[in-house]
Amino acid sequence: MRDGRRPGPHFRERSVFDGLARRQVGQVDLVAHSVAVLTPSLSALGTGLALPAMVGPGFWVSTLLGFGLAGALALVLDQFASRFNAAGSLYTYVAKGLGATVALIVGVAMVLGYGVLAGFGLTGGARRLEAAWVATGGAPPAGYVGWLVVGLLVALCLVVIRRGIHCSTRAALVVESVSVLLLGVILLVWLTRYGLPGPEVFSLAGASVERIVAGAALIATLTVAFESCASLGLEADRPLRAVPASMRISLLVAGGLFFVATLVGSVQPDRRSILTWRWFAVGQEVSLLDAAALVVLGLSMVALAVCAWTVLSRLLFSFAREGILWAGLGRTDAHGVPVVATWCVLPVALAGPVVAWALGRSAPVVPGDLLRATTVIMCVTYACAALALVPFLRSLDELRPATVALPLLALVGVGGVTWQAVTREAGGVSSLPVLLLGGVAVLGLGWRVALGVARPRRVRGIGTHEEPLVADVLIPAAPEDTRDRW
Amino acid sequence: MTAGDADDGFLARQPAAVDSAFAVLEAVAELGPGVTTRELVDVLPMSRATVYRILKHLVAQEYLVRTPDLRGFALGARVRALGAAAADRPDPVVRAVSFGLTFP
Repeated sequence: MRDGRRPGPHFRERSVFDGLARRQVGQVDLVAHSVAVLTPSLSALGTGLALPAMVGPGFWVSTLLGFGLAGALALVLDQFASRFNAAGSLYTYVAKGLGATVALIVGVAMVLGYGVLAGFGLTGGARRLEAAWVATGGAPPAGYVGWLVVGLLVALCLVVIRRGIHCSTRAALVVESVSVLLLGVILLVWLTRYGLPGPEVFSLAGASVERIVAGAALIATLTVAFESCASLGLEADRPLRAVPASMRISLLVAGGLFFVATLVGSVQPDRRSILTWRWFAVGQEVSLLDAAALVVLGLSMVALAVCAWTVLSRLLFSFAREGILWAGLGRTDAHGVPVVATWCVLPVALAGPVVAWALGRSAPVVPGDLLRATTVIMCVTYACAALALVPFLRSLDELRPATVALPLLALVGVGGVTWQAVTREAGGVSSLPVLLLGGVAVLGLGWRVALGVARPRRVRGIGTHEEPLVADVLIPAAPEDTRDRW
Repeated sequence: MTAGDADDGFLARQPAAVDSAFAVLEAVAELGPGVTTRELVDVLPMSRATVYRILKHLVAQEYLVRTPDLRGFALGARVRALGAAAADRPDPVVRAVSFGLTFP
């Protein structure tokens, strides 16, 4: 500091992440992206309607606890997302608080998590479109047809993503609006058919704490990836406001719809219609209304695939621009799309179904075990982000008591959900989540060691965020003009 | 914010949050780019929690930006846009204000 004045901060002329379509995504589109990843209609029409039968009395407590935990995590991530903007989301948040090694492990976990989620969207969409065909009276298609449909959906995803972020988020908005409308129609039909729920559904008489906690853990796993909108921060308008708001709003939308569905399901928990995907015509093979519903739900899953694919491409783009992965992944096209990273997501997304096929599954599907194991890994990444908050805020000299209590609460909740998910199998601990977590940790550590040997300077740049540019700041006049003021 | 502002009843007629927000903006402008939260808490007559809350809101609205190390603050593009809009207006009163002139 000279003459009693602090040295002025240095602002760049160009962003490290230059090339993406900046400020193209408005608040509504960003919320739609986040909602699409949560697939609220799918969750409500499946787990939501079935939850009262699964948990019994106190099912509504499970809903409040499950979405409450996601809300607490959203408040933790809000502390990062309102301070800086980064396409790496959780990976960058962890890097700021816990350093490069843990961040790289979280980065590997995110690649796995979003890759599996994209594959789940593609295969789930194909399954529902096939089921829609059967619901119209068609013959059950052969196994190879499923792969053809997945191929068509991959092409559709690529077309939508390549047209730019504005197009893909707007497509998600349209699809999710239709799917929420469908959910509303089905819930109305059920209310007409079975009647309104009475106040007795809120009774806790005979409730089992164990089942309530298990139900809450199940619901919490449905909210995994709620933070996906943070990856679009570079492309969002006023991201430091829009990203935290989108996380909260999407959880409120998904939680509200899920809660209503559980209340409707409590009147007549008709598991047969849920399991056979016949919400309109229970027990009937052919139902055009259910076929239409399945088409909408199939498209909703394709929207999930598009959004997960987009998030993963931004993560790979971010790695490349930070210099810790092949630089070609940072290349963007005229629409501001990281085009090479987008193509590189394809094998990651299809890895799950291909492995399942190699193990003997005829239809393309992401195995349930893999999906559950990936959920556990994502929960661990949330725990890392919660742990990172306190050192991050301390480094900024902005730590307050309330911001210490929040991550502690989130950590306890995430720990409980992870334990429930790992020990879900009767007779002990599931091996796949533990093995997968070990594999992720080994890969992350290996990456850290390789970077330390080959590119030690790059390690310091891990967790780069979008810095304000000269154009974003009011630079004071030259020192000689302002000397009198000081 | 000056004593004169309070004397002419300006504070009494305005919502306190708006006054606080302008006070924070003026403090950042006076202390210069890079001013930290702690420095703002020291100079502003408001609680630490209020300063945090207002800083968060002004950063979200892009009236302020965080410096690249995230520890400090500077005036953002929207303040610049306000200044530019005032400077570009042909209205002589606006131009006079933008050049720092005052009227009786």
